[in-house]
Amino acid sequence: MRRKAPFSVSLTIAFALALPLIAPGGAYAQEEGENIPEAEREVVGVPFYELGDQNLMIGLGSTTLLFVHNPYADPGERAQRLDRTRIGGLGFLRWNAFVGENISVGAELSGSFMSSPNRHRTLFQVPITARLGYTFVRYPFEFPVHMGLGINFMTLEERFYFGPTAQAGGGVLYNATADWAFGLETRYSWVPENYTGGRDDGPEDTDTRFGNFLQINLVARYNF
Amino acid sequence: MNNKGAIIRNLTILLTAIVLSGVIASCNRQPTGIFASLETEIDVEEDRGIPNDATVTAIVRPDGGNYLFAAAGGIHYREVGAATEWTRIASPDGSDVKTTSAMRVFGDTIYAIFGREVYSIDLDDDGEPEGTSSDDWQPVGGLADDQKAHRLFTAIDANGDDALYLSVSVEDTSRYGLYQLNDNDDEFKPVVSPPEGDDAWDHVYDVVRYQDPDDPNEDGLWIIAGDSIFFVDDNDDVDEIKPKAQRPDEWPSTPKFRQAYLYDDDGDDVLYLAGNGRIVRYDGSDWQRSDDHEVRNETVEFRSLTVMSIEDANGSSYETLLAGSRSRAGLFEAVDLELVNLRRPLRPQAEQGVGTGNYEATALSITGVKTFLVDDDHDEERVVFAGSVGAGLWRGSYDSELESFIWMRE
Repeated sequence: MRRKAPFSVSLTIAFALALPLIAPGGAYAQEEGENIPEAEREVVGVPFYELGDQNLMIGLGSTTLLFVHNPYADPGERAQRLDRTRIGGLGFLRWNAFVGENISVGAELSGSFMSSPNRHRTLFQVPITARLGYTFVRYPFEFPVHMGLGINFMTLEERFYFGPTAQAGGGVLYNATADWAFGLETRYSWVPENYTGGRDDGPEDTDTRFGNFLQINLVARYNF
Repeated sequence: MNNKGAIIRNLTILLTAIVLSGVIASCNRQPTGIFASLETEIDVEEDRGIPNDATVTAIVRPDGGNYLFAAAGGIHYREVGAATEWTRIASPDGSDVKTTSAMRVFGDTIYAIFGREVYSIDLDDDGEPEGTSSDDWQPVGGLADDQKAHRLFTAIDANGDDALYLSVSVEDTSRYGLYQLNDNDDEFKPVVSPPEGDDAWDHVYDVVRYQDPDDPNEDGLWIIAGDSIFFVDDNDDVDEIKPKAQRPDEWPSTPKFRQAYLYDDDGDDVLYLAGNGRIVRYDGSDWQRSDDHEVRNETVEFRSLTVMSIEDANGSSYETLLAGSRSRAGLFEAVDLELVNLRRPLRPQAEQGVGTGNYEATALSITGVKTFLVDDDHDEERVVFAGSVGAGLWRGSYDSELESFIWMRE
């Protein structure tokens, strides 16, 4: 039996279509602030970031599967925790570009692994996501929040799946130097695994699940 | 717009395309979803003390005994009971090798091979070992200095009595012979000295007494020797052996037969053999074989067999054959005893929920199984023990409702 695309898919498409509209919109470069040291910008009321400012962020941390949502289970039993949740590893590389004094867009490539409850199988994930962020600045600290949409490649034994993914999170960064900042970031990652049951060699639609992960990372950011 | 803005816009368009492709194209060609598969993986909690990384070469429950014995690195034993744990018997002082390669319980004695030699410990009246320290082991003699003990077998001897057999090899050769424990149970005597020439056995993987209906005048032992089966006639001189003639032409060129299993089919003996890719069945007139099995494009090397009676959800019972592989192919189940087909055992559907058990998700699904033991009266339950290669010992009971085995770690 074929089913309608879930709401999550519609949300993914909507956000993806909106990204190009956001990206070129920062036509108000704050050129008057370019010669002011970053540490003094906030004091004199100059925006901390401006159009075209870019940075690279690298993160290493942990990922854990909070629960799996099964839309076909009985009400009240749809969110299932695994018998024993394993903590896995995660790493990512993110590029950010500011389109305004607080708003940034970017892209992220990450990879994670996590053992199954009995440790005999490993779940690998490689999401590639487009990012939209907003950064609150309280120098020398920054509090970036961000969300991401993209594709996720996922394998478990011989099983392979790729589909959409959505992420949202935030963190705190300390500007150690003009170029480098370090901090902690946490995020929620939502991984739909949607089946329609229309393929002879694929899972039934009742195998549709939505994975919900919590990820905590130590991050380092370089401004250029 | 400046150049930076243009670059950002173009990259954003590219990322948008990536996102859209992810939304439109999602796929998985396996029969079960990834999260659904993870959901069904049970948490293996029960653990009675056998090391989880042990290779189990033997699991035995003597007839009428209240104790189980397992060769899992060292020799372990436990009482048949709901909450009993395994006790390890210290390895013998006299051997440099502290892990055992074979074990049998014969009469009131445990026999185990450590290194080159066979050692024994007697059991008391309750069937429990009389000692568990390293100096409680007694060496069992009978082998020449250049001979090495390899495997132990129990089979019926020429007089119709239970007997303990031992395969031995000559040092620095691949010539194997067969010995038998003497009447005093203190020494092995030769049945077949290691043969020479074309009839040399390159190994002895199993020994079974099979009365071939095609040769009613012949009575003797079948020696499963990998690519060949040999026959030792009770009426011949002890050193006279001959290849078994019934080897079908259509067998694989290297069947690598290992374990034999004698099944009582309403009074008729049926012989099953585990081999490379196939299970072979011989009922005295016809040889049959299963389909050739592969997993991940590799031939499944079957190494162990057993037959178990199972009760289905309707309360009727049937017998099924379980086969263990050498490598990471896991366990197989015969749909019926005619060996028309083998399949991996059924597992619960994902929607049956968490904690119900998942055969494929346990360690057993990706390891070899060297030995089985079906215990028809284990705490008033019929169970099967599976001794794995490097993944410990498992106890399986059949759940009629789920139509699947539930496996617990020992």
